[in-house]
Amino acid sequence: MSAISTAAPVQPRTEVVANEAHGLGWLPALAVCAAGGVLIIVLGDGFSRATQSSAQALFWIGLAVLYVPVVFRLARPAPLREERLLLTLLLGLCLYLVKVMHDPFGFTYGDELAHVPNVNSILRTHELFHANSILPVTTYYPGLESLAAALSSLSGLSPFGAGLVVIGAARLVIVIALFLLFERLTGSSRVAGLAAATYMTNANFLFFSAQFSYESLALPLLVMILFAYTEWRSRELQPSWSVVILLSTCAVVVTHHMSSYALCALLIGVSLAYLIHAGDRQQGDPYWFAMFALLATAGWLIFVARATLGYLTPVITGAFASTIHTLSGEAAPRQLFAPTPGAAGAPLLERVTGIASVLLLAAAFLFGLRAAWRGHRDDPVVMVLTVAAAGFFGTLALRFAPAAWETANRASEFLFLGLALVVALSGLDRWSPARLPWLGGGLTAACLAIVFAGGTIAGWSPDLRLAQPYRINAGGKGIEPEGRQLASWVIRRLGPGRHFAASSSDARLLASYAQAIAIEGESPNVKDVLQTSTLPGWELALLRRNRLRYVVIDRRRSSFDNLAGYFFATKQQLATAGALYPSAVVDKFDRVRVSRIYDSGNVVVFDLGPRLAPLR
Amino acid sequence: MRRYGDLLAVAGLASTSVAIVLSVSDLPTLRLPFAALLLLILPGYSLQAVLFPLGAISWSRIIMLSVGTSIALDVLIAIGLNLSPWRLRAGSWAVGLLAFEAAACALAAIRRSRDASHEPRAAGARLRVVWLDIGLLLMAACLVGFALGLGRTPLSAKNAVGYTTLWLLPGLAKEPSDLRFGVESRQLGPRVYRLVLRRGNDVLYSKRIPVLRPGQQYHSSLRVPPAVARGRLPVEALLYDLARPRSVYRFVKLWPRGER
Repeated sequence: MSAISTAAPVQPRTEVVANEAHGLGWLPALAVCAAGGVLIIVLGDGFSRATQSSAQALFWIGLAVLYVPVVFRLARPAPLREERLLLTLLLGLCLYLVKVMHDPFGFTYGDELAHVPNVNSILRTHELFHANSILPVTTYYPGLESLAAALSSLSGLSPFGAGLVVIGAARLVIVIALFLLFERLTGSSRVAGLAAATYMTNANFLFFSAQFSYESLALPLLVMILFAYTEWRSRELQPSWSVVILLSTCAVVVTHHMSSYALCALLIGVSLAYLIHAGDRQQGDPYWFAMFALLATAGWLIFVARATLGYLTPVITGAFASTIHTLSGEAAPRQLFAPTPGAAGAPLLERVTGIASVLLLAAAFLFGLRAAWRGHRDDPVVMVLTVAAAGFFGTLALRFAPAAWETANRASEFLFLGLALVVALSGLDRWSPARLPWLGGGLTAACLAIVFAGGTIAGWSPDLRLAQPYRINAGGKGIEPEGRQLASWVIRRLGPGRHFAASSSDARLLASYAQAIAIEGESPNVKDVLQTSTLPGWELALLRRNRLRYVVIDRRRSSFDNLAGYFFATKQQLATAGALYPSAVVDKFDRVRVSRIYDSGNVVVFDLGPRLAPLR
Repeated sequence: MRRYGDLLAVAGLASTSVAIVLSVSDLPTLRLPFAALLLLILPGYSLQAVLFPLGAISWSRIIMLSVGTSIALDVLIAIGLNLSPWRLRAGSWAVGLLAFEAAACALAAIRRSRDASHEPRAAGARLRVVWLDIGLLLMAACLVGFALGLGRTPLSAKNAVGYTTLWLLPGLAKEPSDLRFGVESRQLGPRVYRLVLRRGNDVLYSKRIPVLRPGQQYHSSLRVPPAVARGRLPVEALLYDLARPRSVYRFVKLWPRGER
């Protein structure tokens, strides 16, 4: 029976000898190139924010300028280890800048605005675990918000600024941890750089995983734990790495539910792989770390965060049921490349790119699978990550089930850890014909660029790829859209702690900037109250029962999209049929004796009176 | 001295950072780097100094651990502070972090003194940086800075649709018979309005509001007669855009207390 591999990596010839000085290679030039790519994207964002053009040419050109040259260099044999690590870091941080510049004035992602109320609550009360009306489960995972609140209170930055810094720090951690992890597993810094660059092609890396959300903090810690485990099993400084693993595991448990479950699954999977491979517990088996993670996760879930069950269960059962219904033909499959059901699909070139990216990943996976089996089948971590890589392709099928698409999408950033490794092992970069020694590197860069583009297409709505008008210059003054302005007015004129029924985006803005208790969605069903033209008795009774004194009627259909509802509308958008709900949606409240206290055109606020809800 | 130089630097930086973040109330630009050091780098660095002998791990691992374990420590410190009587305040954070970093540095120094016979591993590869590299890196930094500045500049958006807000509220608790009202402009250009307050057919207030430029607002209050305050009809506020004076541009109304 072959021994399980835990040895330290063998240094390839390109690695430097100790004390020998060497230059930065192409790093400075590629830094200029990457910065240029960011600037090109910012220019594209500028045209979009100025409502001059929504053409995405500058966006794609900028991404190509940013990504391709760096990956080409990583695919070449010449760079030394330090250069590869720094290039990987350059790539990861520049991609983070793309997201930062996408929304430079404030958070505009639905999940971000679900976390900001927690930060404000901590800053105001100096305590954790206060209720959150937008996403109640986040109350019980305060890792991200406590850190952002700490930085805000120590530095004087707004929660927005503090959040950007915290997620930027997390981005730095995950990039370095990915590189070190893959290097430790494969013994090659070249594979490590390519694997990290491949990981950055996953659909959520550019925008979703860079947002101010609890997973964006927990996932980097998870990768760091995996790396720390590979160091631990090398038997050098084991007690030290044990402390790192245990400490970080506790932090993950307190920060994000799914990341803690993924961590448990990975550690248990590796432990089982040891068991299967060797038949008994081997040195390097993470059994005790797995048990610790499991106990910590279960303990937090049972004693602190029991609401997580109520939050996740419907999501998982809904995804399962939707998959069954789709497979059995009871429900129509989801339309690929369409942002919403019935919406126009993506352009042909984007569809082709999206499909090509999956095919390229599948092809690379097969070659990489062979390399992983030949060179690393004795390493349980590599084998578990290979299984995760295969699991990624399984989740692609879930994208056809309407209610399972989101689950598949969220799983991808975990499963891609394995896929990135296997793809990097495929070895295309090492193909160097005598006359074209750069061919392998060039093809690798080209293929990864297509995969990157495909991931970006799959991971974010095309309408929101470019920055939208959030704060615009009018007569030398910066002005903000109706929803944001409403929140400013509420905190100034009504004060904090007011109860609102509002659309998805308005509710988030009110909760984040007006310290309001804002209810949206279907539980309770305020959505019908806000969207229908009639006012049956049950709607007023529902508002009274939930103590929702104020009702925000927003005629813009986009306000019910928690990604798109935060911006100025354009003349073209408002001219589109169906852009606004009929005026009867507003008028129905004018037929009953409620005060209409605020009117900004599309947004009207009704006050049902003090007897419905006490002021505090 | 080389053996303890970094620990002294950490202790010094931590103390300086605490002093600055707690004493400088304005200037987030000045406080931010020290706050970030105190929160996101020094805790992790001091912990890895305790856990790992000097020179035992590479610079890349040190950087990752410094930031990553700082994040992990901060999350757990937050839980601890929440359970403490001091809660999560700037002062408790600063003192708590300083105490941790100082204690960790002290432990690391003790460990290193006991490991005096252990020679640090020979330094890894040294980077040779030439002037061209520095120039290019500065150019990259300038490009990023320019991109950040451009991104953070609000731009004119001629195709965006502006709006004007009209609002009407009852008086504050000390003057409940008053009405408070206001007009706020978020249009793309200056506008002129007329504001009318009425109850039924009775006009309580009528005013041509001075030109409102983008971002400007007009607000006022009105003391209403007791008969109006106790009346059964709502008070209505109507805003007319003088560019189109025949149609009501914005409309709000307030029912008297007790009539809802």
